[in-house]
Amino acid sequence: MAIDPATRSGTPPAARADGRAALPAIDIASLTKVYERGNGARLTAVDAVSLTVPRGQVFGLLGPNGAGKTTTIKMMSGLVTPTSGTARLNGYDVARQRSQAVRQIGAVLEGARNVYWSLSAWQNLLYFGRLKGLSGRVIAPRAEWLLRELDLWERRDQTVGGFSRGMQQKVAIAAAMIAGPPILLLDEPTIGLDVQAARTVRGWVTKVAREQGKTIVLTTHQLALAQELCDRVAVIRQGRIVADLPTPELLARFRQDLYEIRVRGRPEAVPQPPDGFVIGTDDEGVTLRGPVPDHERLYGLLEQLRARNLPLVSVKPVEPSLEDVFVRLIEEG
Amino acid sequence: MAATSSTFPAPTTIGPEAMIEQPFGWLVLRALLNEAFKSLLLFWRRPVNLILMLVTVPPMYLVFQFIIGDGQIDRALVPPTLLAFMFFPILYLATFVVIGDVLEEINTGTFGQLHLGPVSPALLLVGRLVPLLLVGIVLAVLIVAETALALGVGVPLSVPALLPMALTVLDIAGFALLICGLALVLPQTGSILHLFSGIVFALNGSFFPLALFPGWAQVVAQVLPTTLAIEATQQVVLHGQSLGAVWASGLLPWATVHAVVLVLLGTLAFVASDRRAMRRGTLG
Repeated sequence: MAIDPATRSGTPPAARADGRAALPAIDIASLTKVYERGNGARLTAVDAVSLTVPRGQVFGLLGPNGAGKTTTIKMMSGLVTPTSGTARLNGYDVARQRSQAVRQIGAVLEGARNVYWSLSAWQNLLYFGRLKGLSGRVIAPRAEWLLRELDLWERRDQTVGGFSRGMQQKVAIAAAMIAGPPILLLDEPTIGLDVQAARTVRGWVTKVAREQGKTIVLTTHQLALAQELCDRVAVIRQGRIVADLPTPELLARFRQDLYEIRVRGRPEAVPQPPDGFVIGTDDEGVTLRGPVPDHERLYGLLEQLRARNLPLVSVKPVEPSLEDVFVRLIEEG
Repeated sequence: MAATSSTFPAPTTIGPEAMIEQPFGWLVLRALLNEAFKSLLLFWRRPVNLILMLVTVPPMYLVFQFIIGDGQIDRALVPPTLLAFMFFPILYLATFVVIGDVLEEINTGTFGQLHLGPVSPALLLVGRLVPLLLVGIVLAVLIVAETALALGVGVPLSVPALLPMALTVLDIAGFALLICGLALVLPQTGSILHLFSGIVFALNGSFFPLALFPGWAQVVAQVLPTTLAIEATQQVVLHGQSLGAVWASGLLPWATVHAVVLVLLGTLAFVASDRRAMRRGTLG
């Protein structure tokens, strides 16, 4: 992929000129959203979330359904008005300097088409470029570049409604990128896609992140994607951030107490393992994988296995995946 | 990735600064034209709307006149009622079609994307409305010509009448903004629009001249969109009054005030509803 020179550094030239380069790409402070329902009930979707994302970072916001990821993304992009708190994009306050703030972002929103299915890919890109205030003269080469990169150039005049789901999502991502925004907000960009389409979109997002140096906020349920792509991960649960660390650091923090125990025998013979353990089986026996916070507990578990005459094959600490960490964080709260 | 990707050069000028450097007025004008163009593109994707109106509206008018005339068409009633009825396609396109599009955009998430540009969604809505109003005007002229020809009734042409006619269109635009605002916060807006547009066309002189209504109905009718401006149009076209005379009668000033107030009210309602939808997180 050719690198877009205007965004390679992740810092827009105007930002470098007016001193905004020193500011984080995203700075949200005590962002809170309380939805008021018709029956007077109040639902706190996001509860005093504060985050700072430096320029060029790929930031993963993970959490179970209803944790507050989409509301946070929508507050960042100005689509949902916060109950309190502030969101700044490249230094521009989303509430007070909306016009400048929204120009800093391109967004692919969850569960939405994001583009017009009855228009062609080319028409969509021209429309969204002009919507951002660019002239056709500026947009056309950019649109051609994006469509060629996405392998859609030959089908540019076909309506998006006739595309496969993966291709439609690629058009949505291209539309979000048409004006070359320094920040991309990708809310579940692979949701609802089949394996092949998800892989295509994942490849594209990886390239954009690694080769164009964009600041990306990514929410996804595909934890392998987040682990592969994100420099930093925050886990949100019931509207609150429960962990926020660089991805390697987050994984390292849980490395010490994650063990994999292999025994011969049938899974029915295995005693009820402690919380957080996952039991797997294969031709050679049973694998128990989970957190063991201290050696006493590990010895206790091994003793139980021996008492059931399950021959021990191996015991080893394992590198946790982001999924292991995520499950632990969500279960522990 | 495409094999061509490595050979096609990346563009060099792009990013937020490319937008910020432009005068805001130019941004707005470009956004309005962009929205108008999209509106037309989407509209032409469904030509069935246009064809259906051309085919069904004139017979619908004739059937109403036939029923009202107790089995025959009263030719004396045709010019005044046709002058009122001609605004039906304009109102239909500006309200039913636009609301359908807005609701579809909310469901598909493109309405949220409209908020990620530098120009207010209320202005974008105006950009979307204008071409549909223009298509509606062309359609109205065709329908009047079609109906007048079918009945052998002449409707005089009058250049001064363009002013009250423009006020009628402005009235419809204000009403459309108001209804689109409601659509952002009230899922039942479609039903409300059906009811309200029915009342408008029952009372604005499309079927009976306004003078035939009881006094209270005339008062109600004059508050509704289009009635005053249509009455002013009828005075100019059918009674040969000058614009000065219609102005002096108080009809034209009130029609102007009505149109301006409705546009302001519609804009405010849309902006307020849009903000409310953002507070409630229902923008799509």
